[in-house]
Amino acid sequence: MDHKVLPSTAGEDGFASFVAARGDALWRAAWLLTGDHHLAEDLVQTALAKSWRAWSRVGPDGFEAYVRRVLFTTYTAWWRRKWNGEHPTDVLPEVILAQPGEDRGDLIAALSLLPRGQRAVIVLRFFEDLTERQTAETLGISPGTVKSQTSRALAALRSSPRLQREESIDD
Amino acid sequence: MTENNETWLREGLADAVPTPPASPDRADRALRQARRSRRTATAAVGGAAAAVLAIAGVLAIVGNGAPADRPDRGRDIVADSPTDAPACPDEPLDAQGQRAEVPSGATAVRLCTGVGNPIEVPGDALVTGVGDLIDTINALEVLPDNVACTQELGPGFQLVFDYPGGSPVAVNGEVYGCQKVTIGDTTRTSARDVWGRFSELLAAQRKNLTPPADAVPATPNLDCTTLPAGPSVGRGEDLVAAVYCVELRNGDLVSTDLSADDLSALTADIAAHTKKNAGYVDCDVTPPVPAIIGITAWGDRVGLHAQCTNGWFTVDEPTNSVWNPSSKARVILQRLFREAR
Repeated sequence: MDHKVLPSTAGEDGFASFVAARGDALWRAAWLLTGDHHLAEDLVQTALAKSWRAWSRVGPDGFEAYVRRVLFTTYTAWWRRKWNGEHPTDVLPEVILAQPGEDRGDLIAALSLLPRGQRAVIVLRFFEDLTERQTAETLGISPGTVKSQTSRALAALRSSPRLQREESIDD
Repeated sequence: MTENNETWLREGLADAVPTPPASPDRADRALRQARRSRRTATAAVGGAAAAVLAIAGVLAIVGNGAPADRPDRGRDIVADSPTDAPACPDEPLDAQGQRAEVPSGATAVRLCTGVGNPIEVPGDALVTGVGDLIDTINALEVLPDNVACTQELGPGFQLVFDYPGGSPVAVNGEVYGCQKVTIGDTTRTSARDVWGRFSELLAAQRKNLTPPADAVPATPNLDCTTLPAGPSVGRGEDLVAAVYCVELRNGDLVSTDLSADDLSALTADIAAHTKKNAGYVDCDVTPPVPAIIGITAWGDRVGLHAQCTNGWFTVDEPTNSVWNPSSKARVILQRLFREAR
């Protein structure tokens, strides 16, 4: 008897394979953005739920870049909504800067103090290793803004009290 | 930053990230979340159908109103209250289905956020010229199957058409890549043309109406961080309040409010000296980078951004509309630059 795979099932299988293979990588970037295990998982889930209908259109080769863009723009959209009439904060109140017994590292503590837009740029440039133009395309901003955000973020990290015990990053 | 420091930062970030927790059902949970969002959005729009019927009851109904019919074109329905049309769904509707064209007979259409980067969603729906917009969409060229599209992500919108007694029809637009416009299972191009036509029709509708009294807050709270969500159908020439912003080389943001006289002069200049399809003006410029952030009488937030050192401002990204200030306007802008603190 012939077994025909229905398009929707084939699409879901391909999507599930992608998530199994690359979900953890997305989670790591989400963790650097949110600083929290559960928020990171929420962000990845939201990005995957938003992206899944594009799976057949985008195809397996471009899908990770697509999901990454949705993940980062979702994160920065959360940040933009904070500035629209509410009392803006630079740090998500749920972020736990240190867990008992965990060695988070001064770098992560310093990163958590950056405004979210700068944090997104640092993670894309120095963790995901994207170029300035790729970072701009991911976030939907201009390369000039990426440059200035990077510059401000690095200056903030250089002067962060969290990193003063470390070897000076100007050395 | 030196190469050693870049390496330190890269290695530090890579070393600091913990091992992800096991999540074997991550894909299943994402699919369930996607389906829940679609059901919630469909229920929300269906629940508002009664409001559509109430509006239709006081309008001049053309034909029998069924989505499959084609009433005479040019006899579009005029409503008194475009703000009473059903609101945008919380999440984009599922636009898939067995159709190649938008059916005629829609009484209203909302511009909503779609798949992609956010847009600035207008508070009012289009209720005049809806047939014209439908004709524009249905006349778009169908995109060939084998076309190669650039894989960036940009602004995405969804047009939600409402029909008396019928289900809404959603059209997705991607203002990036191949500029796709998706109706059911058919993909056309270009989204930029649809955005431009919707903007023109909405501007024409607004000319005959009075903005809602609460569209603009008494104190608009404009500052250089109150950015629009994304591209806006609000026009720079229609700003009623604005602030001039500059991002300095050291990263500081300074600003000054525009006086009524300056705003009047600059909005007139924008109306006179803005060109569509003027080309890509992102020169990857370093600070100082000026911008004008403002709000229209209809509550649209608008951002005009200078991306090059030639003094041009991008006023609408989807249509590549660029304002080249006149010499008189440049005098004003240079003074604002000096005044910004």
